[in-house]
Amino acid sequence: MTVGHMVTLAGVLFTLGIMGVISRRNILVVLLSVELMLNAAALTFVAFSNWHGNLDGQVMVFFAIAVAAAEVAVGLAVVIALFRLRVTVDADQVSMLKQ
Amino acid sequence: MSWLSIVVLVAPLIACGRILFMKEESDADRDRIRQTAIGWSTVSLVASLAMFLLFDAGATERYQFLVEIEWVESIGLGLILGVDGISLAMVVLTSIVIWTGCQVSRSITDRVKEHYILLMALCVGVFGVFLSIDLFFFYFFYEMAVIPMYLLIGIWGSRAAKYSKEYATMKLTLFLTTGAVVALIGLLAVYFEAGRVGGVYSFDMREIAKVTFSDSFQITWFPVIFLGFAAIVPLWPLHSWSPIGHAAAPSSVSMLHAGVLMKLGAYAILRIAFDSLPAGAEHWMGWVGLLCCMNILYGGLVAMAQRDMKFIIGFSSSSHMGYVLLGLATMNMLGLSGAVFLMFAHGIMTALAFGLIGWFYEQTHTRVVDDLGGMLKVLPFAGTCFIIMAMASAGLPGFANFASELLVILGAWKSEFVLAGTGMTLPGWVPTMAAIWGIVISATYLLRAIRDAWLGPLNPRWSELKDVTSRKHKTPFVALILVLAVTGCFPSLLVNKIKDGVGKLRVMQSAPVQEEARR
Amino acid sequence: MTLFAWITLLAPLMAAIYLTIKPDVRRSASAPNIAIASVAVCAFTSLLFLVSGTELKSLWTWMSFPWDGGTLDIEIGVQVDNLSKLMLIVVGFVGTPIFFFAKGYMKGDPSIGRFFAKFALFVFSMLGIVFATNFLMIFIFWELVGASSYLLIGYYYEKPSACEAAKKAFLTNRVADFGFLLGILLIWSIAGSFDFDVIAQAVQDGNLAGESWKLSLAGVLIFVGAMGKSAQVPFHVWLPDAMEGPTPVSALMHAATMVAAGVYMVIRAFYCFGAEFGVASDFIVMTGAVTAVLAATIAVVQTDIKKVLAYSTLSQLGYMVMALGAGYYAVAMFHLTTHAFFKGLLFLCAGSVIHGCHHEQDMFKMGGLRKKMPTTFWCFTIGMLALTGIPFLSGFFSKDLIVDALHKRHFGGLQLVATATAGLTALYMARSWYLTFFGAYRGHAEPHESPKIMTRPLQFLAVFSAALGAIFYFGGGQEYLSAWQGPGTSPLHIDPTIAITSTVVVLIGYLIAWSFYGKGQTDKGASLAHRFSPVHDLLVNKYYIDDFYLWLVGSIQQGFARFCRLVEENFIVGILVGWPTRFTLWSGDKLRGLQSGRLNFYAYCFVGGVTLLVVFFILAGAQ
Repeated sequence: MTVGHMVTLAGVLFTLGIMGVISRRNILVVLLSVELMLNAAALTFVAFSNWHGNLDGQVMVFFAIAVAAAEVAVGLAVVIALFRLRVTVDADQVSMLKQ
Repeated sequence: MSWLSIVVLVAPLIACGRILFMKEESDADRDRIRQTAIGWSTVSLVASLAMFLLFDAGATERYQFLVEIEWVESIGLGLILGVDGISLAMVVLTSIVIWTGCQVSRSITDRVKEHYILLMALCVGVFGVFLSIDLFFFYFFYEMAVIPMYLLIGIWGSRAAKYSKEYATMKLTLFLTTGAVVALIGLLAVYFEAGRVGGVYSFDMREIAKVTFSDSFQITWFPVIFLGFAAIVPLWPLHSWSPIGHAAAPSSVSMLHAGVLMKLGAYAILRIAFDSLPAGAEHWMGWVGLLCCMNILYGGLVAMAQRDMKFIIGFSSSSHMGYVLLGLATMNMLGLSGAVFLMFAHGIMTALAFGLIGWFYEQTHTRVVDDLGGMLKVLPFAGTCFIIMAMASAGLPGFANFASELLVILGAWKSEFVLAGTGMTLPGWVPTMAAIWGIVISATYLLRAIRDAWLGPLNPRWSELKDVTSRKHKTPFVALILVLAVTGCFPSLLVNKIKDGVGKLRVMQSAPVQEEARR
Repeated sequence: MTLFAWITLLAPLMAAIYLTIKPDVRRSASAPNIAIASVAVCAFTSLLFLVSGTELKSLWTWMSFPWDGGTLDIEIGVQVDNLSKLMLIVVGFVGTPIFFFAKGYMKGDPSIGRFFAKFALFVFSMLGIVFATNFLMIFIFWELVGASSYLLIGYYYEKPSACEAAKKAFLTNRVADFGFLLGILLIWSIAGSFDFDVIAQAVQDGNLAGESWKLSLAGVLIFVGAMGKSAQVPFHVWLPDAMEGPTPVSALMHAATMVAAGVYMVIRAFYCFGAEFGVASDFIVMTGAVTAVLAATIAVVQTDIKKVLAYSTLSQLGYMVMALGAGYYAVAMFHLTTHAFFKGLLFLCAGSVIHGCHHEQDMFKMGGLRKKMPTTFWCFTIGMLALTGIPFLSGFFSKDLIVDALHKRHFGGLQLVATATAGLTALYMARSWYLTFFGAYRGHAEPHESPKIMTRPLQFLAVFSAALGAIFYFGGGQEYLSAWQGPGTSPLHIDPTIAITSTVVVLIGYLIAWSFYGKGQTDKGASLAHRFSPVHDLLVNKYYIDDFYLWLVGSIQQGFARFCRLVEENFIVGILVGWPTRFTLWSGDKLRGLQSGRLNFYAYCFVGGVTLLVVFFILAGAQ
């Protein structure tokens, strides 16, 4: 398995994530897709870390995971608050800010 | 004794934090909040008065009560506090106005806690501007003063003629921040140029004051800094935010706004633009000598056509700030000292005016002079104070306004205003005549306001008005009048310190050199 | 002695402050006494200075600046010399009786303490002018006089006419002060100092020889300031209106102090300048003459007893100004002194009459008061005779010397004017005398003589009014003021021809008045007024000067102010501020469409944007 394979896999994952964010309306799915993109990025880090032969990239992955965890916590909190308020997790239903 | 400058700055900050954790449920709670704010502002007042007394007017070093705290060494950034003669006068002015402002805002009963937190935050900002000798913190504190002002007017303000309080506060904030952003560009230019020319990148004004910039740099960048701050003074025609802002603000905020905030601009021009770019100032200030005549005459005339008491005082402020600008434009000892002294005098005077207007507005809910009339009969104390205020504002000897305006006029008479770019020179007597005529105009609208609102037969609608009777309520007004009278009768008390500060300005230092060069 | 001078200056101020900050004292019966004591100090020290022959000058630096290589000191000081001593006597000895009178006159007024506080403040301001050592100090107290006169004239603040009159007095003086301050600045820039002595020295040394036109201009500008306080045409309009104040105020301000301040200040200033003014002096003499005649003619048709005296004051000030213009400063000062006493007396008599007639001021509602108020009647008579210049009373000496001064300076026409005005003076004074004291009583309430506290001051002033002229003339008053003689002048002596001529003219004036109003009748005068109604209308309307000013202020100035307000609201707020605002709002409104609020759309834009950037950089890197 070469670096090329791993980067390709990461690219596929990332594209899937983007497609999910763009096309899905359910905020939970959107959040899942964001996670997918983050993991794609993490995968790329690991791949290059391995290729370069040092650990810098893997350190970055830990950062990314920590940040992602925080982000998910905040994001889910927002989703729950939103659900309590509007009884929906449909992103199109929450467009009040444009007013 | 340099800790005094920290005390002045930190006292309102402590008040902020203290009030944040107080509860506001009953009237007793509200009173406690008020007492806390008044108490900490008294601390500031005492500390600033101590500074005033301990300030050594003959000292060789420029800034006294210095406190230096390094922050980001690599870019020459640190919190440096200290005062010279000019900022000393401003700090004393601020502490007096805030001390009285806290007391007259007793009338506010809605969201007292938030009101005092914001008021105290505003104080920290204003004190910070006057105390900072560091460009970065100067700007930081300046922005810190503007934001609470926005909320204070927006939440506790009142309608000003046909403009809503939201409009007024929006306009004020936009003008002030836009002006500040323009000035910021200039400040950054000075910072980087100072680093380039002098070799040391530093926000310390003392370091910047050592650098001699090239004439072309000064002439290019002086207008940027000047105009940015002139919007706050306000220079005609950038003044339109100020009367509306005055009128919409609640009385304590009007007091701070007209009394102190408007002085930030003139102070910044003196402290930064004059000090770092003296040649630019020499080059451009002639035009200011012309524009400020518009301030004086036009502001006065518009005030004459107003019927709302706060608008009358608001436009009169822009007229009086014209004298400050004229004093700055003279670029000589008399004019500059007069300008600083006038900033002080006008601050106290307008604080008094807005405090009094607030007092009767709470009861009458109108400020239109046609609706009032004969109120002296029912409000003898407030009326007497108002007449004293108007007399002081109209330049009655014995009050600080007269002494300071006299200095500005003397300075302007002996000055020449070179209109850069046209090759013309405005002789000193032209703005002087405008300034003297401005005094006639100010007497006209003030006496008219007195006659319409206070004298004449009593309008029966107001026979139930309550005068200022308790000692607690009288204190702020009496204190302000006393300050005006003491500094008016014994101006040397203050002027000796101001002239020390003015004398150490770079424009004053370089003046003889340039004189010789001209010969 | 220096201490005495400072105490004299500050005592009334202390009294005023004390009465203001102590409400319980202010309301008590002792309030007037405090004020009276503070003025009596002035009377006492003025005598002390006169007897001891004190000359002193004491300075206190008010502000000081490094300036032009040296320092510029702005000083407050007291100066006692012959001129200020004489003026102190006027203020002290006219002021004190007036204060006593006021105590009686204002008795029962609920805010008598407030009145005396203002009254004392006024005396303080006046003393500041008297003691002044330099132009800035005189200007400071000049303004204070203006402000305290504002407070006093507007004392009855619930009366709209009083407020209006107070405002008018203050503003008229402010306009005149515009010239005054410019004059001071001009003097400063040519002589480099504000101090009278320094300027005088510089003029004497010939240092200012090259600046003679500037010096003349400064002289005229300073005189403009004096025209305001001394109510010369065209700044005279405030004085008759100022009669809205209580009568003691009129007596003090419009006889002894405020109006005299102008003349006094001009003497102080012109003495410094030393030189003759040429055109400037013609201007001054003409101003005086016009004022004298204009006021005297208006006085003839007045019906209010105080207004008659007010216009008479204007007319007499015209005399003083004529003397100033002719360069005979000592003579002007002489007339100022005598006038202060007899005009103070006349005003107090009028006050006594008004008090006795229950605050009636219209002479046509008086009459026959000779029997009811004998003391007042006799005092009024003495005052009138002194004013009209009946031989050997005080007005005779001072007025004749002025006519003589005009004669010496070859102002032939003006000499005639001055003489004719003397006749007019006799006419209007005798008219009011007959109307008030003779014939039958035409009013309603029963008149009564005033109490002793009011009549004693009358008698005191009457003695001085009668005798002061002779004392001054024969006692060497002109020599006493010889330092203030104008250049090229010497003490004058009564010229028999002039004296006899003017006495005859005055008697003719009396005769005319007698023939119309001799028995206190009013019908003859009315029929004459009817026959010459255009002239009468012109005089009653004060030559329409007030109406002209009203139009000027009401239409022109107010119109201009409204115009500025329109500019403010439409141009500055509407266009300069309004257009950028509207542009911002408009563009925001247009761009708002992009903010759909749909998350997917935002994400799409974001990804699209990033993709485009990546493509751009790849392409840019490839090149």
